[in-house]
Amino acid sequence: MSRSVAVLQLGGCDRCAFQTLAVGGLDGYELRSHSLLPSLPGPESVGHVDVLVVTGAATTDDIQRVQGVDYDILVAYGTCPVTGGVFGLARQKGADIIALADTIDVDTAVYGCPPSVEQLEAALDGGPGERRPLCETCERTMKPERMGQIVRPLSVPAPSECMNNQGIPCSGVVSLDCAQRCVDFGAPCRGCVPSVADPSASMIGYFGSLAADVDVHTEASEWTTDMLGDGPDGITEGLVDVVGTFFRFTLATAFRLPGRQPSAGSLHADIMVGRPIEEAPQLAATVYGLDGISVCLNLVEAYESAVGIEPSPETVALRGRLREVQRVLRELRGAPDLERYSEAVAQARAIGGNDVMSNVFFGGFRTPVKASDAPYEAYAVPGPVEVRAVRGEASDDFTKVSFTTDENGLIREWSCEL
Amino acid sequence: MIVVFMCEHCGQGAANTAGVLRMEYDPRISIVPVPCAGRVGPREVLTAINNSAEAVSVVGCCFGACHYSNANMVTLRKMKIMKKFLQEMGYSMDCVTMYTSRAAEGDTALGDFEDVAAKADGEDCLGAARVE
Repeated sequence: MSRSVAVLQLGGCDRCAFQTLAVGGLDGYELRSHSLLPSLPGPESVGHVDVLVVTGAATTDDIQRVQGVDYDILVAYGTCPVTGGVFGLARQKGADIIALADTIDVDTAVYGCPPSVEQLEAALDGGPGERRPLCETCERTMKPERMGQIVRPLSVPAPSECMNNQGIPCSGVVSLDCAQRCVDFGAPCRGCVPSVADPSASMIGYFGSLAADVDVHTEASEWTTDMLGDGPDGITEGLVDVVGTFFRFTLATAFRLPGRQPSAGSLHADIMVGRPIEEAPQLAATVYGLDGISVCLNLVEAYESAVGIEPSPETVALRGRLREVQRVLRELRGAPDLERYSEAVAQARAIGGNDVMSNVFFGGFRTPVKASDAPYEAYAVPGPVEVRAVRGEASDDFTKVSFTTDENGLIREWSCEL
Repeated sequence: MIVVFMCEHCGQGAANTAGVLRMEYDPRISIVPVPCAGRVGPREVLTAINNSAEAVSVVGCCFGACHYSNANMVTLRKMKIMKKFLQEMGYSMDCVTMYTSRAAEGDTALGDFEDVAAKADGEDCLGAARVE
């Protein structure tokens, strides 16, 4: 007898929801309800189902939506329903994003941003399967040495040395191998698949130990003792965005109080504001889901023209190919089709590295592009990206992005028309 | 409640000396004994805050006097990262602090206690945020 499955997409980016369309083609499973398929009834009106798969970021109201479904097994697919995921960053501005797994018992959590269809199949068959620690599978060499200073990843990190040794925080040490593997594309891991119970605290502990030689501000107290000071030092200059660096996927679980920064106007703006420019392309590609390629490229091109970076012709050509993929993904929004979606994502991954465009950077690509015949020099990142206060604006056929940055290169205003 | 982690050498030593001298300090202060300031990390700070602490502080040995190599200096960096984290979340940096004390001088611990208690009453501190 086949097992009945309902898929409930809460909020968020739709990537995981698209992957769960695969359930419809699996032997032994019957897809009764799916949020992306209006032809099927809603999950609350299909009666009892064996498995409920939830995807996307939850708000407080979503607890009732999940509890309104009659299910035996709850599978949380993607990092968002488990820990609040990348959308949890909006809590910095007080947004209502929660970690569903804190309130409702989740039987199987499939971490990943996004995970892969194979992991979904494994989860439905009983468990997420074995995953190895990311560092074990990483090609970079880790040395038992402290860092000299904390470094912002404004250029492409040296390819053979552990990024933490180079002074760039990389959460690979508290993470498991995943479907995106940002570390393979010159981008530090931000920990979408944690290997420990409290990844953010563990990572800060680890990184803080490595940073034991970094300059820190201290002062003498009036009662003649030494104490930690609040002034700027090597720590605050190197770590311009502690929230986005160490709490990228865990803010909703790791810190229970709502953030008190003023809201930037929308959920997506709340996530983007405060993030450093070098992290922004990948973050934009993540949170904007099926429009991510366009938003990411517009952001990169807007900042490039604002600071005077001229991308090479091959870089422009490769970005053009990414936008062709974006066209397909845009068409799929109204007519979900897993086969076309997987095909398009595979093409995007061949250029942008992974689903979240880790390979895309200012001026070029961080690592050699599989889908390009040109030599790497023809589209490589030319050098470190300059950090300054600018106003950037760019648009293409799909989205229009405008933002401002401050003198540290942190995004201060953000708007994006889809 | 203000959670103060104190190392068993200089930190608790100074608190004991203050106790013997019957010095008074803020009753909200709750001392958590630890072997070394190096034992305290972001996990302990976040756990305390998530469980309603108004402020969290670490008191270790004076710089250069740590009984376990330089573990107090390592924790100093971790606490600075936590300070920055709280500031980015819209709270006061004062909610997480780190001090030192001298075991033979009770007033060094008392100075730390008075300072952390005064800072915990600040406008953007965690206690004020919870009342809202």
